[in-house]
Amino acid sequence: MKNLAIRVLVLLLGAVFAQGAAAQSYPARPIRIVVPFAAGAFPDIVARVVGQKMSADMGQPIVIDNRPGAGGNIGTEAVMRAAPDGYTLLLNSVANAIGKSLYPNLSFDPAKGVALISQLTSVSNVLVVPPSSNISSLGNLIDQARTRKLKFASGGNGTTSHLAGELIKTMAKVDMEHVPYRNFGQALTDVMAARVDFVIPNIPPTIAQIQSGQLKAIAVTNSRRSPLLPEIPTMSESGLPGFDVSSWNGLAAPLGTPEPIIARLNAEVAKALKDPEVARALSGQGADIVFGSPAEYAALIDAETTKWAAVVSAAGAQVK
Amino acid sequence: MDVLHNLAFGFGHALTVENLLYCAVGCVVGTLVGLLPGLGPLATISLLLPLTYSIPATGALIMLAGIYYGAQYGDSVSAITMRIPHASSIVACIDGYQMTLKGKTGLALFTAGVSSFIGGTVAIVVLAWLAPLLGHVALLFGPADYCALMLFGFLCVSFVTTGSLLNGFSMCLVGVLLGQIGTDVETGLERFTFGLPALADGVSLVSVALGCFGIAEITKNLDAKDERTPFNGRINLIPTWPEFKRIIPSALRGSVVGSLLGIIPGGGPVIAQFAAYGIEKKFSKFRDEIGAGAIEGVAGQAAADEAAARTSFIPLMSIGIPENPVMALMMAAFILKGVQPGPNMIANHPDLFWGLVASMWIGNCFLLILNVPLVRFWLSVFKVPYNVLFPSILFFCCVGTFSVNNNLNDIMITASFGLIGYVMMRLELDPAPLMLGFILGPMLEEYFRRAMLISGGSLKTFILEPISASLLGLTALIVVAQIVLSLRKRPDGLRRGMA
Repeated sequence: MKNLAIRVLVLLLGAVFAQGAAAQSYPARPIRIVVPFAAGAFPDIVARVVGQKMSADMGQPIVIDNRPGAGGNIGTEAVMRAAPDGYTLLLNSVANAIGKSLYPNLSFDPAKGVALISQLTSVSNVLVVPPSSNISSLGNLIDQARTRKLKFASGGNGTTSHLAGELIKTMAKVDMEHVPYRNFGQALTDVMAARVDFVIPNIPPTIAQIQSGQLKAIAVTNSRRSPLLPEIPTMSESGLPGFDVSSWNGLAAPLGTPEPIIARLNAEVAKALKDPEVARALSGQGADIVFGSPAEYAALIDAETTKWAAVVSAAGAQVK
Repeated sequence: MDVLHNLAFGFGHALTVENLLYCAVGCVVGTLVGLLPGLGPLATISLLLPLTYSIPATGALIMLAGIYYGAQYGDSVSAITMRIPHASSIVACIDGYQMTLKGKTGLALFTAGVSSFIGGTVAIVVLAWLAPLLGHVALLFGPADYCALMLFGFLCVSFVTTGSLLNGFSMCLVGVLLGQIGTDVETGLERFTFGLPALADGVSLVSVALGCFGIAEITKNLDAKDERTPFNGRINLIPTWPEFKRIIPSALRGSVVGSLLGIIPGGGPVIAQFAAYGIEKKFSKFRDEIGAGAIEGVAGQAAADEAAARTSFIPLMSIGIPENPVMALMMAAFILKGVQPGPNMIANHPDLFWGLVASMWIGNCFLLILNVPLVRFWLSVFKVPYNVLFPSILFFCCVGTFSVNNNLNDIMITASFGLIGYVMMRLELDPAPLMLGFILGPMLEEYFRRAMLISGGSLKTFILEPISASLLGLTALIVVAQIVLSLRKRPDGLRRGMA
């Protein structure tokens, strides 16, 4: 009855008080997190691990809704159109910052068209070569690229694995052939079998192959070394100073989601990320846990959007 | 006899009360998913993953794996009874449905169930004995080899076509064109999407298959009240001994083909069904009957589909590479349980690996019971009057289509293919070769362009790679042999009479 009374009051007092009342009873039903990638991809794992803990804390189920396609744009647009009531959330990622410059004709802004909650993780990419490869370091790779046309695989046009390769091309002023793959597993098998010279994927899908010696790690793309691969130098250390690529992701909501709900979700994310189980699951995959305020997350997205715009335009990768 | 020792160890883990229960739950859920038109294991596993958070790793993975191979087990049922395919039971719509039209539904279902059992068993033997070695088979296949394999696959057009061959090839080309819709992987540009975001990622296999077969068939039933689909839910499951004998060789051939195609990334159950069907059409003693409702047409594909589903675990568990979306999701499930699939998995988690292998065999027995004797109960839905049954089937088709990408647009796309399929049916055009073109066309293009990128534009790569060279040689040989044979005009009718 109390709930009903509140609703009546809400109706009477209008929108100003609506926000406060909604936040008090929030969440009253299951929450949906849209993941704009296929089930099983690393962002999906992040959403499931963090969502599971948040669900336990908030006492409502959290449903993962995979909406893959068009470089994350399909899922992102679906969230932007959803009711801003805190029951539809988006797992946004570096793809949203790239998307804006990759698809200049988009009718919406995939990076800024959402209300941010917090960053969740950041994970480095890693340059890997076949175990039989004679590429021994980044410097060596660049030297070889000057004498023969190296080929690098990627998970598709405009992914970090593609653009990190393009960044090497621009920074080292070499030319290399980009070989895109739809099925990332096949990109890995072609590198393992030395059909392609290298690939620069996120650490999580390659960690097992690196640790078992089926792939040789040459350098990590983040500005600092990965705790999971402490002996592997950064790109910045090994000849391309300033090289910094990481695949981050975080949580967002449709624009117009009430401030108290955003604050509540930010607090819940903070709590979930401190959980040892969540930390173990994510860092075991090579991801760094990053929590911050919506403003801090917005600053990251701003910086990343600018950075990738330059890379995309240098690579001529726009899709028009 | 290390393997027997390991299997015994595995059964020790799989035969605990909880794990038996998880296996049974997985198989029942999988069977339901297989029976419901359009619904696939990907959406189901994704939805049920959260329920496994509180279950120990071995039990959780036994259950999820059970959903996957369980769904492949029963996926021919709707194709046989209603001509509504799943992605991996498209060819069951040919002979399986013909058998229903002849009133042999029970025999077709028995054949599919027993063949799946045989396929599953063969695949488990492969999995237990060869998993650590076979992972590396996945590395042998490069883009040039895949390209040759896809070209080889196009030979199946002549096998899955029931009417005129010219029609078959034309439909296959239409399928290839349909496969072009979507984003080009190499340039990122959209093709044939007319600027519609709904088409940006292409049309899904489930939409085309459901539309062209199932929805078209239901529509036909609506406009012809007298010629309604004859199946009424009453079946006679027990085959005669000669019928039973015909199942075994086909199922064994299908199992081998399925096991092989399951191992290589890009193969899997969807391709395996066509390959097995083609092989039956070529090598079976009863090849002339295939297409008109022969046991072999059902047995081979059912066995191959099931075998491929199980051996597709091999690349995941031996080299850590998921070869299809369901395996990528299984990989996530392993990771969420703190197990890293990859080369070290068998050594680091022997209880999990061998427990899973052993549970697959237990699951195989559960599924045989669920799909053969108990299939009667599932089919009692057909006693429902048509005006309730058809809308409910359409409802499930919508749910199934929606669940692929959780996207409402896909339902509209499926409906459009229902219309196209109905027109095709009225014009007596074959949807099976269209499906084949739709599946193989985009892959052929993708592998060809990738092979060209890697070889620097040299076509010689197709001859220099041994696998590609042999496959291309084989393709050429079959085409030449086919032409020679048709020129000699073999007295087919006479032979059939003697057999």
